[in-house]
Amino acid sequence: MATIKINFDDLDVEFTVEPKQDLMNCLVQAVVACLPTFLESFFKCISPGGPSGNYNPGDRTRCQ
Amino acid sequence: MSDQHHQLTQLLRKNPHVTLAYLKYPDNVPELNIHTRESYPDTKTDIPRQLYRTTVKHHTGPSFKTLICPHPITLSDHPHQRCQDEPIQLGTQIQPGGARWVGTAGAPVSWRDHNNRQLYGILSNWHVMAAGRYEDGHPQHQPTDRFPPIGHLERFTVVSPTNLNHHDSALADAMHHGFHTIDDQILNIGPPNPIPVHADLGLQVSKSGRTTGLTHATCSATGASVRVDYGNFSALFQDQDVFADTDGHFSAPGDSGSLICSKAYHKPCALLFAGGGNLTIGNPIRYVIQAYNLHFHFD
Repeated sequence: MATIKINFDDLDVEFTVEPKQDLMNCLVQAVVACLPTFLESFFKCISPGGPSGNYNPGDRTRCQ
Repeated sequence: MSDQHHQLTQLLRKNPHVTLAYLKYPDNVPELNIHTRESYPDTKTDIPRQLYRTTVKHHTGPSFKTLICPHPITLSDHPHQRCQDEPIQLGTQIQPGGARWVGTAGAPVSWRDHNNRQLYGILSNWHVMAAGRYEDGHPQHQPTDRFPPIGHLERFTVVSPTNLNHHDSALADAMHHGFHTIDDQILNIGPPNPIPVHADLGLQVSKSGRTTGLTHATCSATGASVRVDYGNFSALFQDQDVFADTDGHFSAPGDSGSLICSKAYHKPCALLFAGGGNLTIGNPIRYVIQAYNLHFHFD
């Protein structure tokens, strides 16, 4: 058993594969594991609100 | 109504000495009010045929100018002109980097950019923050460019010397090094009400600006056509709100960019951009809201 971690930009998923599993199965597992995160990001992007930033006021001194 | 606005604008196009024209309805009878330059008090006015039946009332002056002022050499301790630490309250002095003038950073607003990102920033005039010389991203400083920028020019609508204009507005994104530099408050007013209001005759209004601070006025005309001197050109504006001084001057050079809001509930009403004599001109805020899908809240 091996754990594969994928970390790319906002995509951060983990899945496990059996030893000697063939490449196609590995790829299918990878796609299935990534799908929820991908869909979540995708729908967030196309929603009318779009990706929202928050108002984040600073408190820096700037008048010296 | 838009046909009336068009006729009033035609009147200004045909008569270069006319500075302001609007209709009033005392006792429900239409009355055409025409203001002419001080130097042309007796010039005969060419009135469009559609306005023939109205009573005409002539006024001498004033001429209207944008309300910026020369970049001051020394810093002031005036609350609307001094440097502020973050978060900065608006209704205060702003200067584009390298500009020879200052104006007012009018109001905290939020909108979405072309990539649909939520932005928080500053509403002011095109002639204050952009004036044709600057492109998107130009830094905006408070109170002068001796201090770090508080935002960058993000959107603006260029005022045309030839075409008809409805607003003179610009937006600066107030994000600087990961934080927003501005407060959601206007100095001496507080946060603007998120619900805008149409100016009606007699509406009591307030504004907080760089030069005259917190002042009050009364709406004396709506739907007005006005000629405004921009220094190197003049521009015609249609369907504008006019405000008359009540106690002292409502505005002075340096107050361009201030948000005019209702005195009672601070509902955004107009964007101050020009003045002359005892009158101040504001773009109805609905034009500005429509142009950028603007919001007056930071939620």
